[in-house]
Amino acid sequence: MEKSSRIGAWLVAAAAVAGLAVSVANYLNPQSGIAGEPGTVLVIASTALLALFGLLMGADRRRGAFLRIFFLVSALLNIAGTAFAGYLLHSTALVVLMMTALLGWLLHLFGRRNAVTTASVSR
Amino acid sequence: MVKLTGSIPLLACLLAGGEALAQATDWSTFNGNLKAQKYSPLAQITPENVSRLTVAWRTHTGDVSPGGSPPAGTHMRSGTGAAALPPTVWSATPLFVNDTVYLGTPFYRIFALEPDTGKVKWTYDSNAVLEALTQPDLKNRGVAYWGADTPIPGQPCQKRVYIGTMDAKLHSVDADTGKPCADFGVSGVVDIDQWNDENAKWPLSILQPPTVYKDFLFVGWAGKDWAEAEAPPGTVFALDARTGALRWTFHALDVADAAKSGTGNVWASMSVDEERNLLFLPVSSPSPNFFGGNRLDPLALATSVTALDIATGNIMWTRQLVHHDLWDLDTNSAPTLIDIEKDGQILPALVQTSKQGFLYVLNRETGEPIYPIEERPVPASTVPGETAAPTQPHVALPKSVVEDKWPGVFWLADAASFGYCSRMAASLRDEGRFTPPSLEGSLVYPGTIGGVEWGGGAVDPRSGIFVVNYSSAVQIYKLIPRADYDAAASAGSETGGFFPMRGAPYGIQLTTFLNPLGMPCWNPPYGSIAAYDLKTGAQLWDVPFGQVQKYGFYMPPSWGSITIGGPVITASGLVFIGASMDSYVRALDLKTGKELWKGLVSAPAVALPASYEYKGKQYVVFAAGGNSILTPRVSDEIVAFALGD
Repeated sequence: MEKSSRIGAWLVAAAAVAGLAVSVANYLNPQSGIAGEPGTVLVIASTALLALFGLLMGADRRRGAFLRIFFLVSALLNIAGTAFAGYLLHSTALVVLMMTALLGWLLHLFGRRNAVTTASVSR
Repeated sequence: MVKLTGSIPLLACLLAGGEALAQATDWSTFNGNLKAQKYSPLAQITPENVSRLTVAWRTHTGDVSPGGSPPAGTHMRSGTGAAALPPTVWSATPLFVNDTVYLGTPFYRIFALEPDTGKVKWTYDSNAVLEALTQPDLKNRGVAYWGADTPIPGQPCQKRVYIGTMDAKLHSVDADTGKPCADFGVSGVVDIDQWNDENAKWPLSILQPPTVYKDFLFVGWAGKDWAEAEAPPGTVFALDARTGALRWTFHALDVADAAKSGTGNVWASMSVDEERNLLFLPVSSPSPNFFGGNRLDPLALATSVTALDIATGNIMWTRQLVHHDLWDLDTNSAPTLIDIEKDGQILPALVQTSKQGFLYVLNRETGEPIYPIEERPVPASTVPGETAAPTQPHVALPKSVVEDKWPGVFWLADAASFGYCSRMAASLRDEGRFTPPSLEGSLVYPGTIGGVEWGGGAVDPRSGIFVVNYSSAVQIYKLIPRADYDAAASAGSETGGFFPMRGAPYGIQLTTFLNPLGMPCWNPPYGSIAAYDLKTGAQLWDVPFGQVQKYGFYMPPSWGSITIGGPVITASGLVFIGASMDSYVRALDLKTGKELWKGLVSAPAVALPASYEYKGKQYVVFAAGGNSILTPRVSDEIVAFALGD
């Protein structure tokens, strides 16, 4: 796995963990406007899941194409959904973190493509 | 330059009259002043600098109950077993007077706070019964303040604070110390229930603080709606502010009507014309609320605005706003008093907002309309034993805040419920305003939650601009014959909208028109705020207000929010208001209605805010307590905002 691809995956995981922390804080803080709300629980769950996807994407293990694509697509849908939920929850920090996660996802995707292309050329 | 800009609002105050100047720093009554104008002559916070408003202090009283397991972060009063208590509804206007912020809580305690820090000076515990004796929630709308004209130095209780309780006790305490005033009633307490002698099925709950004028306390009360056909008849008690002795009593129903009906009570605040010695009462509807077969004789004072002579309680005039009320359209807020310049004349006016959405602009000396009120034919009742009034008063100018027809089916709610909304609407009786309750179910718009709620409107007395927030809510009223009611109600619950009206031939199922997913079936906006020029009656602007919040998600601003609470206008051209279903408090531009600032508090601020000046700084303070009608989120937080140093 190319370095930029791994950095991208770690960025997804880091943004997700930060999003998880923000969401837990929002859940507990009565001044957040979304304390104790089901919507906040939803983004706690989605950011935890995204962190897991990020870790799996960044792990240096060989996987089948199906699993790789599954993680990629799931992570992208998760990022989009969490960002939209963050927007509706008025959680600006969560939206910004999901933008960061999207950047990481793109880095991961194009890093992989470069690696695949380089491997093809050298073959 | 600073002095010059500071002198402009001062000059404006002088031009507006001595009363405004006298109140330049205080907020000593529920509505800011006895005219119920909700107007502050302060102008330090302006449309230009309001974006720099920050939290000056934040205090928690501990008096809160969610009525179940407390949500995360809720501040609970230790040792109360709050989870077992009914939920709290906190709609207290903070008072600022005597260099102190005073508040009542839903546990019927008084808090005296330092105005610049929010630190507690003293508290008083009424030790009230914390049970839902009449209302489904523990509810409080604040305290009242009285000061002696000629205080006796060294004597206690020359300044007093009053709080009422759900169990009908009125407490009087020293405003400086919080100690009970022993000369008031029995050891500082008057039991209002001692006068509850007709259909006394529940206590006369004192949830609204008394209106105080000179040495009078005017005390209205709240009851248990929709439960009984025969209920305590509406009364207002005028008490001596020092001793609690009864001076006079106002009865909304005569003896014969009181025996077979009830209520017509005054549960909202009142206003006072000091120049004319008039007390204005918003009188509620008679019981049972949704069937009038037992009260077919006209009850002239029910659902009215009524003017009394302050000294005697004699009726000076009355104007019924809904004839033979079958919709629980209580007159529910103090009329706002203002002198209007119209056609070259200065007219002593009042503006009465209403659940039905009309703004009644009357001459407050005579009760005659300043803008025409027309009697219009309305639909007849089809319910056996009922005869609806053939006509109802209709106001064309100022324009009603809600339209005569309901807003129609919302496609999104309809699609999400596979056509439930359309099918339901087609099955209901709907003939526009004042469609009576029916056996098949009537679509009622606006229903008992309004229109305009108890917060009423605010006015800028200099310009005559009147601002009012309102809800656009569609409800379904379905009468159920007594023989079938018990079976129907036992299959549902009170939360399913079943209310017995015991003693009447029908019970009622009253629900808001939602689809099975809980979405409103009617087109948004669900709540808005509007401004009117009282000199012409013209509407100046009308914009959606607040945001619906469901599961934490904020819906589009264009949908607005159901609102409970009211606005305050400041001399600098700002409107401060909480009131929405989200937990934001907002400042709007008086000229346009545009939102200029918003701040987050820990629950919907369903109270009137107050604005005061202390040590040269203007504060705007909100009690953020929540209301279970809007959302389960409740709090015990009071937040003061001011410009940063």
